[in-house]
Amino acid sequence: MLAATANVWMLIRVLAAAFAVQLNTGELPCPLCVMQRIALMMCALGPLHILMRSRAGSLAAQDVAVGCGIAIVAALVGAAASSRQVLLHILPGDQGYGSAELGLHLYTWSLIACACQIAASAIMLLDVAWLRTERTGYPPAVKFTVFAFALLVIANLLSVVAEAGWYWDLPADPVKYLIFK
Amino acid sequence: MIYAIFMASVLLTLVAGWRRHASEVPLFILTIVLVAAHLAADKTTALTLSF
Repeated sequence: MLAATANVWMLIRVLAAAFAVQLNTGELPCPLCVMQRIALMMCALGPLHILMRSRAGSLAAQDVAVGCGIAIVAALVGAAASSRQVLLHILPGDQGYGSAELGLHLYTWSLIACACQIAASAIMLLDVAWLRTERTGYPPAVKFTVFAFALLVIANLLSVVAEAGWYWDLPADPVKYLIFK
Repeated sequence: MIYAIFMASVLLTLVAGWRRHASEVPLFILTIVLVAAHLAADKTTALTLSF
């Protein structure tokens, strides 16, 4: 329970940081950046599945397994998207897309986050060995965590609608919010 | 718009999970397959792979 909650909050923090960079610097996320955000959101659905199942009062090994499976599959897709973007900018002299944060570009951080997510899910799966239909109760933190995550997804959704306007896809190198065009 | 649809689908999966609805995992699978397909058809840059 604690591990799943910490996992969701870590992903919320990563997504909120990316959103903060977008708002602070005015750098709009490119299509691949948005794909990475979506993959990280889908990663959070895994530990959220575990948390939401625990509301019934107990947690089965099956719930943990499904949650970790969701997170691992989503993290693999996220890693594919971020690796693709890392490879696009790997040549010497390439400045990369957007500004670097703490020495690395956001897509590199995204690749690291996806690798960490896979490792965290694997550790949670190992932990099932000691799980004995745990009695969990219904901690209020579950409701708060789900609400915070939903709010973040809605904020990202509104942002991407503003960025794409009425177009089906985003431009490869977006510079302005097309809805205000 | 396609990205907004993906995010709406994530929200829908969350709602299904909250309501303990059986469609939660199938919705997740559908969304991840669509996201992966969109990624595979990446049109941001012309990509030519040579092995």
